[in-house]
Amino acid sequence: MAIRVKEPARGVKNRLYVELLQGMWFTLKKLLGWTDVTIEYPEEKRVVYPRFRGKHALTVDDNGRLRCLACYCCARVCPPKCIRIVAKETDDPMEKMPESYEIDLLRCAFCGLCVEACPCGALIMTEDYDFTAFSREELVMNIEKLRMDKR
Amino acid sequence: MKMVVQYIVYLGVPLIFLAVVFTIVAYLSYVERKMGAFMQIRVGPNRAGPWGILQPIADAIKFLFKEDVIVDTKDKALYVFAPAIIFIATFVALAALPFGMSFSFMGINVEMNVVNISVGVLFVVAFSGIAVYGIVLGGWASGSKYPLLGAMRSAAQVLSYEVPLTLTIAIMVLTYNTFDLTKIADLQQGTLLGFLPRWGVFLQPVAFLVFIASAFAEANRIPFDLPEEESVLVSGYHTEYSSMKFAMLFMAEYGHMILASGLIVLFFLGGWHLPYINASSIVSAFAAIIPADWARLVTALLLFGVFFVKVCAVLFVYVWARWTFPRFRFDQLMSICWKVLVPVSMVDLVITAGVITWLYA
Repeated sequence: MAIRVKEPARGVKNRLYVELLQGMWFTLKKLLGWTDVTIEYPEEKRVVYPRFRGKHALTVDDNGRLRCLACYCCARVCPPKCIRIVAKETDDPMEKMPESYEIDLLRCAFCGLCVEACPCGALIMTEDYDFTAFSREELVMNIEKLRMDKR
Repeated sequence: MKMVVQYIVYLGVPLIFLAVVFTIVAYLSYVERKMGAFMQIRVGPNRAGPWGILQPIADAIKFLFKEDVIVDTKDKALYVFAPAIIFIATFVALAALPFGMSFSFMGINVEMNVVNISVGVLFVVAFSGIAVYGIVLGGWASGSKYPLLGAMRSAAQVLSYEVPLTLTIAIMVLTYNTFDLTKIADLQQGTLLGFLPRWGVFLQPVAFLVFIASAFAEANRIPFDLPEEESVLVSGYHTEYSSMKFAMLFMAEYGHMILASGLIVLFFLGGWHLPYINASSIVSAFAAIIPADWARLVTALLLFGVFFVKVCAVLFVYVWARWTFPRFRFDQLMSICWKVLVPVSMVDLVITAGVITWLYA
């Protein structure tokens, strides 16, 4: 059986149901205010906060060469293992460079650990968050798609 | 020749009325969405045309081309006929609404109503009551639990609220001493106590409030929209309907709102008459500048505009209330009807009858 809770005593103000009119007045004010907080997405985009983790990019040095040394730090630290690097040798016997560098954005969790792990600031994350494609293959990024020539 | 023109007028006025009603029905859905959006600091439909003004047309096209899913139950005939019953009942009831001053123009009678029924009040009440059959049958024939629950609620609610609604209508019929809606509107010219317009709302303020509450419940509007409570019943009796069948239920719902608004305007807000100004004095004021026939035509159009604006104002209140109030619980709904509205309207009826007997004794 239900426990009946005694209703609190209602004063004259409540008996006249002033709250109903107050509510109507509030909505009328909002209606006449004509404001909106909507961001109409495809036309206008939300301003992202600093350090937003969007799509990755590979930076280049002053000579236009990729900063990446194919050290595999990012690939090793990546939790979903979505970075795949094939290294090759360069003219400089001390250094390597990536022959191919792939990030599978469908697997990527955008955690940013790869960027933190990168010892030479080669991998960064941009503010670009609205990338779509019609096939899975298009969302596997390679060097051409990731290369960012100027910051 | 005159006969032909007269015949065209007899046919044309109801057709224009029908066009106006359907335009209101279509744009009411747009206005409702847009107003709700503004009240909730959103934008609302804004893709089809400037400010989304073509949204109703887009909706209509979508409804026409959607797949018409017919549920696999034994009561297929009822399932198909239920929307038709609701639709027909609502729009037939609308036919009894007069919407302006009838006049003669160059010897041609222009009746500003679809059918001139001397017991228009009873006609409207009867047909708006039939609509609940469609809801119950549709809910039953849908063969799933949510429509059935919605239909049961609707039956209980509409039958309950029919009582105070009809009692207040009886009060207004007693007050005006006629069943004819045209006469009821015409009786609301002039002033009351010298400064108030002689409108039903000032003659019978209590009946006005009861009628508004019951009319909201009759049209299944928030705060009385339990038959289609989204959070509990998916969408009530029209859960299983799609395509044009859904559109018919939808249009009937808005038609019911227009009917209720029309009745509120005719009974309580002076019909198509302007406050303080008699229709005859408008005609004579125009007749001073233009020929009498044209004066009558202009006045009739003006008064039709007044009626239109008043109905739209009441519809605005409907939409406004929808986006303001939460809905009742079902027991609250019933107790409001049987413990508040019915006793109040009964007492009001007795008092009105007593005062009228005393006045005319």
